[in-house]
Amino acid sequence: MRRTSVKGLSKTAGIVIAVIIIIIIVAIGAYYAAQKPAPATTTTSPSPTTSSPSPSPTTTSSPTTTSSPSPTTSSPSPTTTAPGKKTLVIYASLSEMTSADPSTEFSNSILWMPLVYEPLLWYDPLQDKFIPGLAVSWESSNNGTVWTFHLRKNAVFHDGTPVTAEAVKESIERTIALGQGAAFIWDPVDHIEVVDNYTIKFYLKYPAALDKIAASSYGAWIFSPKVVEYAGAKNLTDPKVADWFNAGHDAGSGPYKLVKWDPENEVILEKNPDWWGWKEPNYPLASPNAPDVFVVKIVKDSVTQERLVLSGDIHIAEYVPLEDVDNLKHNPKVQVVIKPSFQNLLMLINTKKPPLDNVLVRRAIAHAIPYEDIVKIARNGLAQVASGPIPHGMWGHFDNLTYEYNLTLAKQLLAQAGFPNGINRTLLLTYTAGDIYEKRTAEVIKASLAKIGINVEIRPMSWEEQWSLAKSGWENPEAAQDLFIFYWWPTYITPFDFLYNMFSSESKLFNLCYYENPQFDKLIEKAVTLEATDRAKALRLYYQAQKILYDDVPAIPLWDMLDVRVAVKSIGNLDKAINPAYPTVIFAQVLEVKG
Amino acid sequence: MIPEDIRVIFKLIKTNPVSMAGLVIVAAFLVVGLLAPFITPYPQDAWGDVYHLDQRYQPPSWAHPFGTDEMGRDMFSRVILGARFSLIIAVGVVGLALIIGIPIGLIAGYLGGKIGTTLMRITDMFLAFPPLLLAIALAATIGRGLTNTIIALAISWWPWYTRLIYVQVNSIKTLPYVDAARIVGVHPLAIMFRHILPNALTPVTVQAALDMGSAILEAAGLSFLGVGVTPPTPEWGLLVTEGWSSINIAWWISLFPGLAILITVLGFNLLADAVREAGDPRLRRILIVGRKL
Repeated sequence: MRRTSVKGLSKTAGIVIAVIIIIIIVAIGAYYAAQKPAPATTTTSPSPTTSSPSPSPTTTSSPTTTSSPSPTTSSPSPTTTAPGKKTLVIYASLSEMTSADPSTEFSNSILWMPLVYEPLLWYDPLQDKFIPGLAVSWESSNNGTVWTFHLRKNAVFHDGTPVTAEAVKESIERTIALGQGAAFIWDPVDHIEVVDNYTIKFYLKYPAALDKIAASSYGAWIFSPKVVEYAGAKNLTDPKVADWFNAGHDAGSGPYKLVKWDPENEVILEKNPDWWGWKEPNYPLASPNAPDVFVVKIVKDSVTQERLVLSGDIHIAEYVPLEDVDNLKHNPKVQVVIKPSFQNLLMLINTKKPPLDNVLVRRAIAHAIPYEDIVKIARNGLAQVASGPIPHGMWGHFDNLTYEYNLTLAKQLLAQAGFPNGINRTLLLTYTAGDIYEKRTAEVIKASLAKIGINVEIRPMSWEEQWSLAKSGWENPEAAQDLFIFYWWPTYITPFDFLYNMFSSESKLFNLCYYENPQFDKLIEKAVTLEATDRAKALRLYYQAQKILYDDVPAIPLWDMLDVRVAVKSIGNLDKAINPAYPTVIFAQVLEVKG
Repeated sequence: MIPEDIRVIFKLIKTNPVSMAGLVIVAAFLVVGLLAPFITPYPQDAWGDVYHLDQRYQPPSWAHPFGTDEMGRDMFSRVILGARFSLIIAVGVVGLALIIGIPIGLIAGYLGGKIGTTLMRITDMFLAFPPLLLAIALAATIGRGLTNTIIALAISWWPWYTRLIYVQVNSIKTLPYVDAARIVGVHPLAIMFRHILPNALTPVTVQAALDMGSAILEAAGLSFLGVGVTPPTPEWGLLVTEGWSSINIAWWISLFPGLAILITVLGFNLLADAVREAGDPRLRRILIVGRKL
């Protein structure tokens, strides 16, 4: 009898537990249904920044965490913080920061580096014009092979030493000597000459647009040569200098100073009151009400970022779920800023593997993809249908290079190629695992190509894995994937960056279509040398090159991304603080912090 | 298992409504899993071969009881077809683990000595890893996909069966009838598989039934973490992940597959409880002699 009662108890307990679980689930479901800004737990979510083709592994990134004495200032109080009524802006980043060395950094740390360091020039790609940085004026001569920059005389590094031509020379020479990260942008430079304290001359091996190179978002930062002393190193290329940077020190001249470096959690920047830009009347990259403290906080999930910005715990979110953007636009608490980005998604085709070696088959595929639908489904409309490999808004982009979605034409082309009933082999399409935009794009492509009799297997892989598989295709195209969905964005803003890396026969790392066309190679090599001297002619050549790609279809550009940033209402000028040439950067010195 | 065992199990289940619920859930799961491709209202949606631009993020309705997802596909169809994949995974993982685990345990137990020790130490090595972690590492190495998921899970699973069989065989092999068989010259393999194995199988069978639910849960976990099956396969764990980014506007995408996982695993566990109770000798005696509880 005793046994029965024990048994009865466990039975009741079982029922009670089951009922409780079901109630909890229903309650959560009802809560989500009733309330839009829902509380959310953390998990992985897509981060276009981390799954990038930018070869960040080339940096010596060993992000050393510093034993920084400054306390965590992640106080939730919006815009103001305790000590001395300083204004504070917290910007959430989806990805961890990488290194802090301005010469070699080629990855996520670009997010804060432009606030601490300055280049000679800034570039505004949407208006195709330059904004003076450390240089006030510049000119080129001798067919674009000699460039002279005149530096501003009132710029001072954070350590108090003035920014001189010698410092510029040594900074750039260190970047070139280390040869890591984006050092290749300086390839055209033969030697650098200091004319006087505030004049510097670059002698190039061949004509190149050095103004754009000097405005690069990677590898063009100027720093104080005194770092050698601080680091106790022999010279600038001594690894001790990199260690000194990566311990959380800065040697820049920009509007903010690095005060806390904890790359996995947060980076804190403090206003540099001595910056020349605050005093310069009408300087476009400065605002009188810029925040005193700018915090980059790592929040690795877009759902969480949205929740934090709605509650005011952070002020600017780098990524929110795109599905929620329509609702956020109507939310009185926040503002939504949408800007073009120079990141685009392309589908590279293995042009060496039958039947894709047949240009008719490739054209058939290009006409069987519903580009508009992909943008709506994958990005919730927050992208532009690509027209050629150069993204919208960039110099070198043309609007008439989109393939028409036309299934009849696609079927005709396929029949002409000798496949009237479709292809009898399943094509393998790979994309970066965890990236939902790529995943949805892949699923739409699979569904669409099925309509013309092409079966596709989609396979998510880690970036490294699929990249090495694709690179192996140069040796053995049969073993590589057939289709490869892949993001690109430029190191510095030139069409050459896109066209060379992805389609030149010399580029073995990223030309993963294995496309070889000497005529195309010649065109772009010519165009890039003309960029400095005859921009109209360069543009014509770039158009011809893109037209060749349009006809040969080594890759199908799918969409150009639009960047969405969501911020609390009390932050002004957010639109001006975003520049597609410097992805993920918020130029805090431009922000207006109210109240 | 001998028919008597099954009778005992049924008797137990009948007396306990919770176990009964477990049986009903598992039976329903099996039926849905087997018939899935024929009973989905929108078969193409279920397989993920299409998308419907005008039907994205529809909330639950009569046409779409579980709503639609970001591609406009009917979630009800996808969840139903997901049962088929969960069934394949459950049977595949446990089956493969049994195929690997039983012979090793049997040989180690029967032969003993150095071979036995070596085999069991290898087994212990596998047991030393946290099972889900091992499965994640394996799945990440051998790549994604249904077969790879099953292999990865089975490899982290078999040592448990080896241990169980090993213990059983060790006690059975000293019984007189085994000695007798050996003396009359029966081949060792025949002794192992024909004379020992059938008698050692009962606890393993119970354990296998118990593990079906865990296999489904772990496979869902792998897919959720992005190392399991590949899209657009409507595996439940994967469906939960897919709904994650749109949870603020379309809670139903993640909720229903999540509920399906919960209910199925609950069902298996409740049923397994009944099976385990049937193995309890005291309870058995009470039941067999027909006394009421």
